[in-house]
Amino acid sequence: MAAITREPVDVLIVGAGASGAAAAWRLSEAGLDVLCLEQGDWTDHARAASAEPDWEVRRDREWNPYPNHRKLAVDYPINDSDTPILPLMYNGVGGSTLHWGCCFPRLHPSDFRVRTLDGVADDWPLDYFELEPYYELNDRMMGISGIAGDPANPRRAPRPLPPISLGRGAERMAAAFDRLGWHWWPMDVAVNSRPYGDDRGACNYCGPCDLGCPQRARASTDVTYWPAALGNGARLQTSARVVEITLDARGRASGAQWIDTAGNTWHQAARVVILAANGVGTARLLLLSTSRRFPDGLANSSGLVGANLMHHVTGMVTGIFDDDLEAYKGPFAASIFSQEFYETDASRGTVRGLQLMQIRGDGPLGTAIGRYLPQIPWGADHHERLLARLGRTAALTVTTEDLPRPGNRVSLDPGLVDSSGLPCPALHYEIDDNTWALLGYGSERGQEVFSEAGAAEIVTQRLVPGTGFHLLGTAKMGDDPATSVVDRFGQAHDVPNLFVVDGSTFVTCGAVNPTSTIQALALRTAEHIVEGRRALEAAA
Amino acid sequence: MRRRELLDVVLDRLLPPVDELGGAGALGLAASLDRDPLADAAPGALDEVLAALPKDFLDRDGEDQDRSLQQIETQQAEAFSILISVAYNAYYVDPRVLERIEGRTAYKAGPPQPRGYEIEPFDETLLAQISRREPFWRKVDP
Ligand SMILES: Cc1cc2nc3c(=O)[nH]c(=O)nc-3n(C[C@H](O)[C@H](O)[C@H](O)COP(=O)(O)OP(=O)(O)OC[C@H]3O[C@@H](n4cnc5c(N)ncnc54)[C@H](O)[C@@H]3O)c2cc1C
Repeated sequence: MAAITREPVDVLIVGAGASGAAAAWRLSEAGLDVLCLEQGDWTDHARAASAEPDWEVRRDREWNPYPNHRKLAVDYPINDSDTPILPLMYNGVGGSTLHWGCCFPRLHPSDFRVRTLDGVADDWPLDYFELEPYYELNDRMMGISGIAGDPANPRRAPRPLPPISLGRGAERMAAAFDRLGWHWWPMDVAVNSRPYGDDRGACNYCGPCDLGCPQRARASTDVTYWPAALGNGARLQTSARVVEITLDARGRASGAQWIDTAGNTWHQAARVVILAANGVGTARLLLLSTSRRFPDGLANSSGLVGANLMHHVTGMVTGIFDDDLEAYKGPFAASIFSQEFYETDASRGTVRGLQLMQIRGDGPLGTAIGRYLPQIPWGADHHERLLARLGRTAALTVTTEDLPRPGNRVSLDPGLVDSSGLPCPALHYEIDDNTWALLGYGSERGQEVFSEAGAAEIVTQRLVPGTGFHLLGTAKMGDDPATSVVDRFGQAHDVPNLFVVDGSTFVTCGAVNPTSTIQALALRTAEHIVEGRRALEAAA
Repeated sequence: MRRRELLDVVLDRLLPPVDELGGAGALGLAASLDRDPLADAAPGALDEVLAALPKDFLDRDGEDQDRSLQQIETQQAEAFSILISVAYNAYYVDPRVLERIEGRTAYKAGPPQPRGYEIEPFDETLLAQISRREPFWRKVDP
């Protein structure tokens, strides 16, 4: 069917998640004509699942973070038979921030220099301090609660909002960290401790941030960047699934072909195209966009599109306490963290490090079914055992630095298609020995601190498969076109008006949650595009 | 009729009566099990478990019934785990069950929104020790 053509825009963005929203805001702020195509739709937070009596069941249905289980029409299936990690994401305006834990740490200066410091992987073509102003701007836009002064990280500006309440579990653990002489600090979190902006209220500590937030306290980008971007005149086309990035005769991006839910095909012309479809979606689109000039996928002369997939392989140690911590109160993933073991320490026999991050407890169903812990057995003791666990747990995730390996990658599956008939990605991933050792070391440290805190029982899961939250590295950034896909500004080496702003560009991933860095990079790329345009206008 | 009767008894063994609350079968939760999309996604799983029960299951005493269920749990693990999931799903959204939990903990029975929870505010004195620590992040040459 012939595509319906639409008038060109200055910048076309694919994906309205964490990075697409940040880029759309910055570009529209500068007066550029911006259009974003998003395959999902808006979420009505006033009717969040957390306001429904069966909220815990919905968590396992339409709000399950695993698209292969959720199976909504806006999702695309992912062949994950060749990876031990389940890929998690959400598709809609806000992207995976509609589902996220809102933890907002930053990479460390050392993370940008792992080749120089530790002889592994590659250095980034930029450093922490180049990114710092964008981190700060992003913190203000998202509304970050926290407190400056953390000795494990470079100094940062006073946080836009004071820390959220830690809750009894984190207070207990903080004291244990202190007694061991180990670092801990309240996590910077993208949750309002107080009202912020025009229409965002304060967190009321309901618990399940992953089910939408009627208070608009949880910073998904549909309530942070998007209202501001749309106010600037940016446009957002929902239910628009991009099929291919198109090229002009010179091999420059000319726009994108997309399908609506009725099956109509459209072509949106654009002067600049930005991919913000996340580390799996962007690699998929580039691999789908083949042509005579780019037979192996767009911008793929290096052969690295899809390669170097990184997740942050995660373990978990849970302490079950005798006394009631009321652990179901408060944002489930956001409280305190420790970066005591963040850096390489040769005596451990590993390179790079890990972060321990505390998460809170589940509701009754999550506790019984064992979302993160072994299931409570059925039978005569069931009720007693449930009460002995509900609200009495604290857990530490062990987030390890996941070093890039070319064999860990996204490819196109030869058979699997989405609801539009579009080929789907397949993931290939193996955990390396270093990561496995880091998981072991981190689990032992977790056990130590839970013992110190007086936990009655400690449950260790060295690897938690359902933790593929972070999708990184599949369109690597670098100065050399032979060994990277995009340059230091996210600009494709092979296609000068094509940019990538999501986590695909990560060279390495540190051992921290990535979204503050993804968004800071997106703001920096957007500013680069704005400046490029100003320079062109000035020259003209 | 027999299917429903069997399911009620099985549910009462899985999630038995407690305090003033009847077991999951007596609470009438059997009807909602088949409506759970999980049961839909694995058609026949519940019937597979029921079919594996001994013919005289209903006439046995409770401990014997538990032994039969334990055997099926080992031998037909997949189908049994679906039964457990749908049983727990039905049980833990039932207001009577959640009210009992509310009576014994600080957990609130209704949906978390819009009411939320009261929680002690952040206490800055907790930082007394850690804030005295010198910055220890690894320095990097520019
Ligand atoms: C359960 C969970 C918890 C998490 N917790 C944290 C946390 O605490 N801290 C943290 O830093 N990170 C967390 N993350 C990760 C975080 O959400 C992501 O890093 C971040 O959202 C990535 O941003 P992005 O813009 O790259 O992609 P996304 O936010 O995933 O957005 C991509 C968007 O692109 C759209 N898209 C894809 N393909 C197409 C196409 N062909 N056509 C049109 N649209 C398309 C998708 O629908 C989606 O909306 C979590 C993620 C999950 C799933």
